[in-house]
Amino acid sequence: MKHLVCHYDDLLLTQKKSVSIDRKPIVVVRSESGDVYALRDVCPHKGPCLSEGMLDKSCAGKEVGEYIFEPDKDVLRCPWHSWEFDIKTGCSLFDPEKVRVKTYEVTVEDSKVYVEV
Amino acid sequence: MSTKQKIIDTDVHHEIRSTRDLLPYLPDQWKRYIAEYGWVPERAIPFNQVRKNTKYRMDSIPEDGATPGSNFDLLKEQLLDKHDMSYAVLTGWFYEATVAKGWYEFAAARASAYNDFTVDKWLSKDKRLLGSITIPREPEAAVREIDRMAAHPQMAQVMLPIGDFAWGDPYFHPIFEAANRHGLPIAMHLSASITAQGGDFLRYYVAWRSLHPQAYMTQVISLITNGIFDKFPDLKVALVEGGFEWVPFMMHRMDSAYKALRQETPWVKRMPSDYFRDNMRFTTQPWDDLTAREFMNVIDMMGSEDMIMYASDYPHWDFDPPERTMPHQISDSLKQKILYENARDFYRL
Repeated sequence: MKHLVCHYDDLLLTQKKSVSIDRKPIVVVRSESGDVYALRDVCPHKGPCLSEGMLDKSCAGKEVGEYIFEPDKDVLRCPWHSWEFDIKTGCSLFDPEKVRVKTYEVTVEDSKVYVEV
Repeated sequence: MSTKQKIIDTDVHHEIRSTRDLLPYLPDQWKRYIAEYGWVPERAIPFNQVRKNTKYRMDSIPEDGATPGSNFDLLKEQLLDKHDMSYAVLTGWFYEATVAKGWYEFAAARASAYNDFTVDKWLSKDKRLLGSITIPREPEAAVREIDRMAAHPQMAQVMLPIGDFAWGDPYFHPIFEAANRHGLPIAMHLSASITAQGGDFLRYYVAWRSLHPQAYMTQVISLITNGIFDKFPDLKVALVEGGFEWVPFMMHRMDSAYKALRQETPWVKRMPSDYFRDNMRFTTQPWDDLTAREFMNVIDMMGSEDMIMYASDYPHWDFDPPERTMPHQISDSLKQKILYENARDFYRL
């Protein structure tokens, strides 16, 4: 079922917003490119709200001493232990198969953001 | 875990907003250096983490933007009340006064000021808060400070930050004598000046953080071989924020060495592992994501359920909440010891 959670413009300033749907904590985030995603607003590690964390970019490197900034890879970083989650998939960057956050389908219609729960 | 579980947090970092918070407690001679001459503590650690608010929980910034841990009301809300703590031991974050090299007279004044600040702005506000006596490194001045502060009923221990020197050296024994004379335990906590054996700070924060236990190993070996616990058999020492998985390894390694090399330190009367069990305590944070089985293996190798105390490290980024630190499969009786009883006994509460 689709739930209206906020106006798209609400995400322009802060890029993320915590909402509750059927008592489920959900964080809605807007990527740098303008797409919107929704994830469970609980870190699977120790439980703080991911919405208290920060949207960040990833950085990769193949050779020792090499840093490749990845501006297109948006991650949601936990406010406590700094775990990184891909906002598109909910997968952690350090163990994407085993450690992940549930994601929800998002649609934007007439500048309104809907989350499917 | 039962909702009635009692909790003692053995590592809570209350902070000053800036060194200007110390001005009301500094003699005029020393105020000038902060108020007028721009003195600031040396920044030892050469790293910064990839996150805003670098070393702090991102949700621990007070509304006015001040340093996390500097606002009593927020600390009370996020820690004491939220987790219904019986006691929280303030370990501060002003170790620079102890590990600073040189100009010990000013360092001693800063340590005194920080203690007075802690009493005035923190301990007086909540009986659940316990304090740590900050000392300068120079033993004579350190003893004076311990003697000055020990009578305060909420001052629960003497803090010896871990830097790049070993506290067990006989030069420092007057400090242990003073703590012991007042019936106060010692706490040791990493400072920003700890370095790696042969590696200085290493190259990366992830490397530096991983090596912290190495510095704690140095301290416990130094305490035992220099006879601290033979001189002061009742003295207790807490090794805070240095991990505990390495402890059984070192207990066994030191016992093994002692059997062959005992004559070099004949004043050490007992097997080293006995001092670990009887005189030293270690803390849970940072909990390295051990499973219950892995943790119980550590307990089994320690041969004791009494050596580990809960710590949160609030408001630092690797904060461990009491409800989510240990895996739920660990027995309630052992959780009770780690979350409460072991610290209650250590601090004689």
